[in-house]
Amino acid sequence: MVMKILLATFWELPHLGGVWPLMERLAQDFMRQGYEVDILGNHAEYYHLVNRQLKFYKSSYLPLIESHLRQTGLATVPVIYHNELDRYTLECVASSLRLEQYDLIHTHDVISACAFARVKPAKLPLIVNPHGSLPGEIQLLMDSHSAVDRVDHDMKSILHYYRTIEQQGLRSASHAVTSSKWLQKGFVEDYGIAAHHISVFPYGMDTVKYKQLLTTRNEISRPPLKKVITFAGRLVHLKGIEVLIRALAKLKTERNDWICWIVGDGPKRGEYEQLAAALDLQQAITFWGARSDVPCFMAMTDIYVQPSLQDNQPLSVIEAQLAGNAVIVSNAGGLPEMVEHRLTGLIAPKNDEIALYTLLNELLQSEETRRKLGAKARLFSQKHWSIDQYNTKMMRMYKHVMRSSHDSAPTD
Amino acid sequence: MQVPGSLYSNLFLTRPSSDEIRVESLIWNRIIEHVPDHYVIPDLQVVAPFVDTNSLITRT
Repeated sequence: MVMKILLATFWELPHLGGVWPLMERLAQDFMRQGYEVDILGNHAEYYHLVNRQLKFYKSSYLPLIESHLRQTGLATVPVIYHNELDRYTLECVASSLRLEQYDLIHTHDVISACAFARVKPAKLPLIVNPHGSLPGEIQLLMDSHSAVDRVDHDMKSILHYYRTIEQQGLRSASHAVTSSKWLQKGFVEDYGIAAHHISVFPYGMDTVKYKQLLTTRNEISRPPLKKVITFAGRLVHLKGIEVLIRALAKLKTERNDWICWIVGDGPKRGEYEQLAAALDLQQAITFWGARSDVPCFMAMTDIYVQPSLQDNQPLSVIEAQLAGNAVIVSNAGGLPEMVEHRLTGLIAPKNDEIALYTLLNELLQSEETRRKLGAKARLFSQKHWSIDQYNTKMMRMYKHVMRSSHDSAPTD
Repeated sequence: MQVPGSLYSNLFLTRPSSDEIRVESLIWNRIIEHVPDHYVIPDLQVVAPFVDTNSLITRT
């Protein structure tokens, strides 16, 4: 019998970067091995089985759900209210899918794990695969604001809500998987989840395919006699881009043999562009916006920087290592698990612009150091981020969880 | 076929704010048919602290 797997997420699909390429690759590889795979994702107007182009419009579910929840008090915190409306819609859609047709559900966030746990048949194994810490991101936002009164009260409610969702999502799943020990440790310490309930294995990347992508070129060329410093990712507070910009302002007082490319988009883009202008960095920093040709940028990069205040295991660092860039990461979250300091890259204390400036200056000073770190990173990355290894471990875990669920679950 | 939403009140722990909502029976019958017996909206395990208890229907 062919195993049938449902990959699902509460987040919008498809999208640039992040979870989508990971789910897409997993589905493609499993299908190549003869398994059946469906991918369920979110969209502003519907949930959809992406691979089947089958849409479940929210307008068929929301009016009734909303009429029952409008007067419950939930609506006083709009973030929670809208999230709950969307979660219950997902539950209604999920229950309509005849979940018993699947052998396993693999959710890529805690919210969809909560949703599926409430509607799935008892014996059907459910894996939750968080790619970050939702409450951690909220906490970081709270720390960065000196908000008071109403907003502050709402933020506390939102933090409590996401902590409960995260705990519930982890507890209700048959098994959890994360890509970093940092996330596993947080779940064990924060929620008392048993460590053996959470498998840890790093993300995989099709390194052969990526190597080919690195040889393609876009319309951009690197300026002569300048080294290229790159960041790629969402332009949000937790990525620590402000720290990078301030470090670059200090670097500019020392030397001008560099430029910086910031590739990606997000709610903070305008603010960061203004900050760069205020620090007289308009000529030195280019904001390229969201791009689908990130490998072209990586191929032209000398130094890749991931200055995050909180991060799990960003694909952009993996890409930079595969491109042979000299990589600097902060010591936030799971980043130190990706780089061995002074062997495959450099690690700076998070939120420390002086430390980051010092490391950038050191790398710009020494071509030899850049070359050695880049070469070691490339070697490390080709083995460590192997997609075959990732898929083999994932399939082994699927089968283990299916056996355990079958042995232990009560009959329906 | 459009039917009154009130036909599906058993799925909810709260009363509707309007009795005039009409829904597609094909879609909602499928939900009723497939959700577990104990399934209700809202999920009090998560949102109990945010829900006004007076709004909940007492079920015997």
